[in-house]
Amino acid sequence: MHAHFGRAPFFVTVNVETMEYEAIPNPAASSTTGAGAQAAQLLVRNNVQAVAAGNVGPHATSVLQKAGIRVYVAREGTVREAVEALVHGQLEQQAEATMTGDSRKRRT
Amino acid sequence: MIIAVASGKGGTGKTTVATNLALATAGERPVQLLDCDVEEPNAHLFLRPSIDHSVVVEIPVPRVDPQRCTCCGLCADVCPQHALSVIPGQVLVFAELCHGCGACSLACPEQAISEVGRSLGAVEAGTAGSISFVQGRLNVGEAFALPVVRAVKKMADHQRVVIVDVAPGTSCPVVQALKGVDFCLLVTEPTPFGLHDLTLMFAVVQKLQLPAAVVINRAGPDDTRVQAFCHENHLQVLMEIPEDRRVAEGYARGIPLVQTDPRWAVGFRQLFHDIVRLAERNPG
Repeated sequence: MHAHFGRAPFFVTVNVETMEYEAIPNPAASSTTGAGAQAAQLLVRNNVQAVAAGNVGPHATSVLQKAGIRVYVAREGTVREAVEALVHGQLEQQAEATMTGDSRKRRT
Repeated sequence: MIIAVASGKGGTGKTTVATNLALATAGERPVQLLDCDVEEPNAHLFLRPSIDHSVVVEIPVPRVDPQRCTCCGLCADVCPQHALSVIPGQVLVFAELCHGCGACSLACPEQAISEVGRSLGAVEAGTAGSISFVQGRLNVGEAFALPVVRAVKKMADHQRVVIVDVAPGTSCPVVQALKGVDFCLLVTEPTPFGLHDLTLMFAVVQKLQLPAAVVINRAGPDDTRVQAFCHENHLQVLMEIPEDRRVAEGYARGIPLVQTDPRWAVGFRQLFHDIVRLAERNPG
């Protein structure tokens, strides 16, 4: 699992009933600004219902929540372990951003 | 003539040099000081100007009319800052990411986007004796400094010798402050950090093809690497301000060097003449 939702190089979408999956490259991974919101929008367009990720910033959290997508915290392990933990109700649901985005840092 | 005072590293004495250069030169020529260090403008502490007007600096940010919006997503696609996110039934605007380019409102086929001003900071202008004084002030917590720096630079009075106090670093606001200047004075200190950031700043002025020279602050006999760097790169060291408790005490009370000891007034006038000589020899 990548530590930073917006900067993750790929997202893996999984049908938890069949465990069919697909890897989607994240075009926002190297964005200078707004990576989280852009990545979240990509997942909205892919009709996902829940996201498990390391840390999710304020813009991504805002987009995912407004789109009705549940956000879970999975900071370590493999994608398979995260999906299984999610299905078994072992992941903590996230209500607020767990970090501040890169865009709030002073540009030096 | 526009002279920029920059350093790369913070706290090397940019403001000390800029304000003393302004005060010393003001005896001979009309002078203007532009404080472009908008995150932390501090030249006012030494010049103590009276500010007579202040203008808010805004950028246009999008406002979406939900009655007209069809959530087609074009606005988000064209936004280079990813300040708009389109989800079913809604457009989310992250105004603090917006750089005000206006692409979204141009792209919207429904004319659903209007632009509203978002305040980034202010430009404050006044006088300190005969010196025309302008400073930018970025709002606390704001990250987007560039338009405020640009607004300060617009106030440049070309009838005067303009001295620009530049922010530390080598990022966009610094480059914006250096645009269109005739000469860049690089202030550094004889420490590994001072040398490191002088090296970065020297690369910037070379890229911008600006004539430049160096002032070494807190100079002492121990570390000669800055001098060696300047020598290797044909950078003239125009002034050394010694590591001296009296200089620090004056600074701590907000008293300019030229007022603590008249010899500094002579020194800074000479610095100005040296800058003019170098700028005329190597026009940028």
